[in-house]
Amino acid sequence: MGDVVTSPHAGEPVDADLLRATGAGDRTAFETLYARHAPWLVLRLTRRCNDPALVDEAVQDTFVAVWRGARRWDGRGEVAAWIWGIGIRRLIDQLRSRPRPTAELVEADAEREPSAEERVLLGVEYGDLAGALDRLSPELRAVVQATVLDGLTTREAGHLLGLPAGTVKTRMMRAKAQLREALA
Amino acid sequence: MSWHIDSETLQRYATGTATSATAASAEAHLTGCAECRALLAPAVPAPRLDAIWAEVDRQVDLSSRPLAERLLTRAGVREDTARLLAVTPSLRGAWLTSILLAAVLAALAANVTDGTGRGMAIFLTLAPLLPVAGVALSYGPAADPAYELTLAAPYSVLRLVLLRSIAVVTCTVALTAIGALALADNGWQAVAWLLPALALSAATLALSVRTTPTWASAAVGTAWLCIVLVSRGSSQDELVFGPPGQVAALLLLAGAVLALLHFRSRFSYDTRRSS
Amino acid sequence: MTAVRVQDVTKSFGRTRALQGVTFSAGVGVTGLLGPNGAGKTTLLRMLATVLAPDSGSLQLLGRNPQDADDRLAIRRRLGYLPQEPGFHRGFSVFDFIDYVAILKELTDRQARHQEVRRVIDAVGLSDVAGRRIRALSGGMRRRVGVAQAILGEPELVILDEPTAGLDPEQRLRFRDLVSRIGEGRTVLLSTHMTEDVAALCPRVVVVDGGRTVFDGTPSALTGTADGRVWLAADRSALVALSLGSVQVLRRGASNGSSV
Repeated sequence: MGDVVTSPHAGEPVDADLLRATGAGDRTAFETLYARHAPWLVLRLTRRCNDPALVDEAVQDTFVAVWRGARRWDGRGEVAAWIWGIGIRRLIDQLRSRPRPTAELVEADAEREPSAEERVLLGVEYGDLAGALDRLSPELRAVVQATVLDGLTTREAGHLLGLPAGTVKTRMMRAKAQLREALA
Repeated sequence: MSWHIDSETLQRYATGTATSATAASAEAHLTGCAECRALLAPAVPAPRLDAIWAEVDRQVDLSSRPLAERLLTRAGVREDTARLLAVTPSLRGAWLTSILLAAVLAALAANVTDGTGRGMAIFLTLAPLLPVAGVALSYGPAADPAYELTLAAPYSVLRLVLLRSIAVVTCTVALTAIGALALADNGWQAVAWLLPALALSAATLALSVRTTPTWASAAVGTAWLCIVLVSRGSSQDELVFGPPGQVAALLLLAGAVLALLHFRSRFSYDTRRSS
Repeated sequence: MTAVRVQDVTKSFGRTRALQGVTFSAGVGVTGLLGPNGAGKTTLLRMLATVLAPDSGSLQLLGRNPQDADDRLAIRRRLGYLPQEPGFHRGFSVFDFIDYVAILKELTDRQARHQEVRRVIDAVGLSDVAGRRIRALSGGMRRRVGVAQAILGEPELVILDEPTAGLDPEQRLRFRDLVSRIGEGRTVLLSTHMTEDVAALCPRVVVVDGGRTVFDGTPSALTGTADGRVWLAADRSALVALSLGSVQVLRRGASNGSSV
């Protein structure tokens, strides 16, 4: 990969420009885009699936899709969000084509008390919701994460978690009820 | 973006030890912050990223190749060999379509028989010439704009010539065989063109040691037409297309291959007579 | 090691005698091959590029004999060649074409090959248009594509046939810069009929006319001016007159020779 820049400093192209250039066929821009976004995508997908081979394939498929679909980006929002949308769905494709249970949802080693810094982060991003989220059971939390945070449909969430769509729906309802209670 | 995730939390996220809510928050932040994303980059080992990239690069490459090359690679041909083959004019879609058309039309014409067997004779005369024309367009100064460069390069010219002409002959023969399906009369005559086709193609290759493929194919084509016309005139076309002709074709094929092997080193020079 | 040694080489095509006994040698640095059209420069260069075999005489390239098949292969592995009329496949982009030639130069590993292709595209300053179709490029840029493929694989011997033909003065200046950089540490032979190219670029020049070498030396042997021309004493049989933009070879005693 050589010494490709991984974050834009002053004067260097922003992601939107890189993506546009990629759509125009610029391989160097594409390589820079990869260097900037592949690492976090690997980590984020690893939190959904602990099989590194599947994650690697999903990341690979994602960037091939980025190359092919760069022209179709509507130019709105964060490039990272667009890439995530492709990435999570490619991971789902990988999971669907393999027999379970090789892929399991990753859980933190222990749900400990958040540190002071983490509390700040939680406060900044989610406020009270964060604490309520932590108090949900792992199954409900996984469903919330998949649908609300990752932006998947009920069916896609079902594929990711290995659940039928109906189960996803019921768990969502229970999660919402619990959160409403906790925030009331 | 003025607020960033502290390094310890980032570390916890990278190693998968952050709480779910923390991780969710971090991910939400990362979606919009390039600096924090960059800080995460070292958490993934470079060899892993490089390996993924190598595969992405390969697929992107493949997807931008012309159709002929992609088909060849799909068929198991090595990528660089496929690249050398795909530029051959007589492996292009337009040319191959014309070949198929010619074969089908000749076959249909053969069905319109007037009792003298002329129709069949036309097909049997034309079919062996199709791969000869293909060979003429498979290499050499007329067919390959980079001919000079090919000669001056280390890649074996003979290997290139053989690869291309064998590919062309195979495709052309296959398409002619498909065209021959349109023949109403499916006797031994429906395949009587095969050996002459191979023999004439080999003869063209052998001759192009001495001259350009264009001239070689013209010579071979003309000779074939003369033979056919003469035998037709004397009502001896059983001789040409029947068992004696097949044996002769086989001998010509063997002879041409031997000549080719014997003179193979001549290929690495320019075969044009004048500069 | 002197990369190029030519001794009494002759070549005929039918009844035309293109080369009638050419002798010279060339080492590291840029050597210019100067002469009017039809003098036999291209024939000579094609021999040096191992594309053509001489009828008689001896040829030694990079210490090897190009008539021998194994030696010829060894030479081709260290050779770069830009023909007089380089042809490009239809529809190829700059990158595609140079990649194609790189395959012909036996660079089989894809990653390494692509790196090398990018390196030579950079070296000739065409990085911005690497993805563009060659058809869509100007003459000067196409020439640079030709030079790029000629320096693939860091060859020791580079043969450039009329690389500046058809370029405007500004393009020719940039070209000379490129060629002199290539000539550092390598043997470069380039043919031209433009004397300014030679004066600016070549520490050595060989003049060819009528299939013979008529001069072999440094351009600083140009001395004096008379009638707007610069006279250059050659061997006993001919005088070479160089004036800006044209070459005229005069036979001693006669006033008409072949000219551009």
